[in-house]
Amino acid sequence: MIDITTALLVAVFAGFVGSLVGLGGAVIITPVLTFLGLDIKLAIAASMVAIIATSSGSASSYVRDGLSNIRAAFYLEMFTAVGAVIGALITSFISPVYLYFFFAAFLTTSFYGIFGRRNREFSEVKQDGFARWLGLEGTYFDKPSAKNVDYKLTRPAAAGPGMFVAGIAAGMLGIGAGGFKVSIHELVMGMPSKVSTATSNFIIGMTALAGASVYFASGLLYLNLAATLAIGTTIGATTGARVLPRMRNRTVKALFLIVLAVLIVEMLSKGVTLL
Amino acid sequence: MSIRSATLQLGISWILRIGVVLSVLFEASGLLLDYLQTGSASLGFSDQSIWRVRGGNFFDFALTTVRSALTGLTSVELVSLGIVTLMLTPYFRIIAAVVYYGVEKDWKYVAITFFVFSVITAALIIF
Repeated sequence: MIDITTALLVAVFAGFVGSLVGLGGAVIITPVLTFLGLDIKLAIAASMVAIIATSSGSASSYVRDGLSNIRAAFYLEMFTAVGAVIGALITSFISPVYLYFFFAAFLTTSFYGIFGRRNREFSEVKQDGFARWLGLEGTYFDKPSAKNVDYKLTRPAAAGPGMFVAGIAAGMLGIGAGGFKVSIHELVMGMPSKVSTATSNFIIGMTALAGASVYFASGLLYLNLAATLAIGTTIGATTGARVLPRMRNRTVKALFLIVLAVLIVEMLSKGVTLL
Repeated sequence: MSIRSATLQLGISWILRIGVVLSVLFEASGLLLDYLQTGSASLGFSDQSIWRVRGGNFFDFALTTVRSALTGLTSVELVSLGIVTLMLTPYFRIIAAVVYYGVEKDWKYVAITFFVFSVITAALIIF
């Protein structure tokens, strides 16, 4: 039987890592709690609530510091929210087995894309007309280089369908899908890594809210577990949010690549188990 | 950063902070009260558990929680209030953005944020 202290420690770690790389932490919490003997469905249900805590805990600082791009977040959330609802609706009819392989392939492509850019601290982006029309740009104070960084984003039309797929992954698999979102922000829109992490953390709370509502009706949600995990991820995320602004974009990318590699292995192993 | 976008950032940041602090306070008080009453820090899961959410959508759960809380606060009600506050925090941030862009007459983003608000509201009602 899992006790409150164990669940709390797992959640603190998940919230801390999640706030640094733009994830909700479900990809850490669910496998660890399942390994400790908890039914996977109960772990997923409680994790969905914990994702909201990671998002709010970290985004409260990121938004204040100007690291989250609110316009980009709401534009992209249009696609992710619809994807999450459709994902949750079709999850009863479609077996997730092939999805795990599809998402593993998607994340592997992202891994190579970000790996190729791992040494870029700041990159110049040529903004397209649609991104200009949406006003997708911003400024943040970069603590390591002690200067204001102006950045522009591009290709929102291509990022939209990508975020829709991320939403489907979130709805079907019971995750925040931060790994997908950060990849799309960086590879498609040219978002700086720290802005990408902070914007993903802002978005995942809204996506998880749509997904978490499914579990209220399912009878799989236990409030004592959900609350313990939420307290833990809040502590971890608020701590992580103090660390991220001091990190270099390159360090954030390196950390994200490690998490991405773990995610790929996790997706593949789940797919193979279900075959 | 313009003064206008700084206002939105500050507003949303405060909503998030208040939501986070309140939800953690409610959740921690409820879990502590339960520990003091039962003397157990184990997380048990059974169909009869007082902690299990039994059906209904989120708004049903929120209304039932608020009604029960008005008559007295038990450990379960405190934790429930924490979960409701936690889940309403991102919801209120969307509403704040709709209102802000409306006041700014930025109709493009009023449409975008209102669309997000509608989809999330539908999800909270449907499921």
